[in-house]
Amino acid sequence: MLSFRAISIATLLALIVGCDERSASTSGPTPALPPAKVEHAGVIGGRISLAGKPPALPRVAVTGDAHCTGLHPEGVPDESVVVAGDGGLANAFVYLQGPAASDGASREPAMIDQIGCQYVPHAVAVQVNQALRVKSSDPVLHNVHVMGENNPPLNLAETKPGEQTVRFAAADVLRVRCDVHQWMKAVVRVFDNPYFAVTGSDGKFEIKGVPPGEYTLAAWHERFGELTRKVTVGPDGSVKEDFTYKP
Amino acid sequence: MFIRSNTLAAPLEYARSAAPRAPGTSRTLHVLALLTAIATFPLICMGGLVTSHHAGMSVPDWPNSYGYNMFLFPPSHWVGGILYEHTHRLMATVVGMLSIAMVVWAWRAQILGLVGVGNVFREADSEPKAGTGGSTTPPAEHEQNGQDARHATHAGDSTAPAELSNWLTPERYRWLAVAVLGAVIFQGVLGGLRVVLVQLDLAIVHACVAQAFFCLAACMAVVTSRWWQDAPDLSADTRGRSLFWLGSATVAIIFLQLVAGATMRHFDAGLAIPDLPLAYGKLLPPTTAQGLAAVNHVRAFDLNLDPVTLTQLWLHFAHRIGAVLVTVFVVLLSAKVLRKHLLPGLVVPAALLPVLLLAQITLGVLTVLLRKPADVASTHVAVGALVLVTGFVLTMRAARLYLRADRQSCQNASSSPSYAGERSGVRGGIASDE
Repeated sequence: MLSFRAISIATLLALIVGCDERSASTSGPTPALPPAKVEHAGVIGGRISLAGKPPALPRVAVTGDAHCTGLHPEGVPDESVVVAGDGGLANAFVYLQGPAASDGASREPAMIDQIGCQYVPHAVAVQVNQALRVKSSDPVLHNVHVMGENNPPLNLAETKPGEQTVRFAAADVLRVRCDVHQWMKAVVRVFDNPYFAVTGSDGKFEIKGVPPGEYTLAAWHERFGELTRKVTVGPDGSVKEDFTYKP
Repeated sequence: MFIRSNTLAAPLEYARSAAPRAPGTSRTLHVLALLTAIATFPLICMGGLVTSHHAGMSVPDWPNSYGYNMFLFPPSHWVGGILYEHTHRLMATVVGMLSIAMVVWAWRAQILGLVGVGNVFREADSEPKAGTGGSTTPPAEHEQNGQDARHATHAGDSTAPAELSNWLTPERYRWLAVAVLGAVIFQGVLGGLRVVLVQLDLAIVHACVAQAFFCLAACMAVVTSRWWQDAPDLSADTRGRSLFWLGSATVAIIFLQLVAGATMRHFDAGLAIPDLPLAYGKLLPPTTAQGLAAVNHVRAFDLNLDPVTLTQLWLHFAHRIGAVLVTVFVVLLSAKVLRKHLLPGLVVPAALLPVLLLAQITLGVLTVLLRKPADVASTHVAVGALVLVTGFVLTMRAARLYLRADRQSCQNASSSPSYAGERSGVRGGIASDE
């Protein structure tokens, strides 16, 4: 009997702890620090591309849920590598390494939507403590399972259209997946400074408001990894840097 | 002497023994134990499917399912990964119910005694009385046991092996049943905590405990079986000890291999090394960041696979090394039994082991070559569990045959009035062999 009682108490405690974790991650807005005013800020822009022939990724089968299968009878494209006709690589993250860490609570919330049984967009970048609205526009059950290295894991139930807000306390690479619909995957990167961007479908990016100085500019793609380069941003300057992933 | 009869024919004698069941080990209890063990297998299969389909977190709450009582969760919501996870939970309740039934049956005399109607059962199911040479089984059990009942009514003539009383008393059977129930509860809570705490580590522990539970359930089924009661005492054959230790080592190696496999699967390392038998064309995976970068470059541009870490690479490699070790130990164990210990109870598992091993290796290779299809990977998990439990049953039976209760305690038991009568009795069908 004692062991059963111990198990019950342990379970109860674990449930309480679990609830606390989840609620902490999905809490409302936290007190925001005023954004630092940057004078003579510069801009870093450029393009990320993939050299050579883009990989021929087969479409991902959409099975197990009649609603989703009806929307995508031919499956969905594998979004792990999305390459434009001219080689522009979408969904790559570009960011500065080296600037002082700051809190992003005051930034406009970012959003990831579950619509048509897909995550839109596939790649999302947020700053530490910036709000991320996790929305579901679908009439079906979804769960949002978030796994990273530096933030506690998270698993949100989305039982109907609506949204929840989450914040992440540490810089991280977060893999997001719906375990109900295993083809639904996304990547969220959390940065500890405000200088980051995600490439669009043409592979282009732009990071604004960069204080003058020397930095390491990095590009990261979930499949192809990280490339880095030293850049110098002058007062009110504009820097153009392209990255190419080569086979 | 029985121990000299290392042929197929001679030892079959005792398998046909009609000796009565030992007290507390009714056929019903054995059937319940067997059902529990059997029900555990599809549960493990479904658990494998859950992991293969990355569905472990598809139902984010526990013990409820999306807010519903799990038994009332509308089937219309059983879609995608939920189908696997929810079915896994329901199947777990079946194993839980069977375990409860087993415990209730094992403790029925005590339970009925508590409510004041079980005096007869309690009397009958208790330890053997001094001078009787054994105890009877409960009247209700007699009806169910058919022929056993006729033997059991002659309490003074009971021919249950004395060592059985010494080794596994009815009290121990009962507590073993409780252990099975406790383990299934623990395993269920573990699975639930994995969900509510969103902890991958707990998922790995859950997968490993599942295999251990399968062995525990099998243990209960084996020790309540007729074979266990009728098994002769071959402890004079010193070669049997080495068989037991080889079996134990094999089971330990298989279990460690399953732990490595579970860790590999949960860390998404199943395709960390996509070629066979080499690792990216080399004997060993890379150990440096440069080597890893080269590997990930090949994965990204040539194989269309996500990048991996060194941990994933070496987890996968450890599983391959484990496969080699398991193969060596299983072959040694099976060869030893089939060459030197052709005994009922050992031959079948010994013959089955290499067959399962061959299937398991084939499935492992196919899992890699076919890029980890969920059904193949899950079958690999299922057959792995069968390899483990087969080795476990073989080892238990070897222990039963060759590692009977230590001599000293047997002698102590024989000098006690409780067992004196039994020890002087004839031990069923093996008497002539000895």
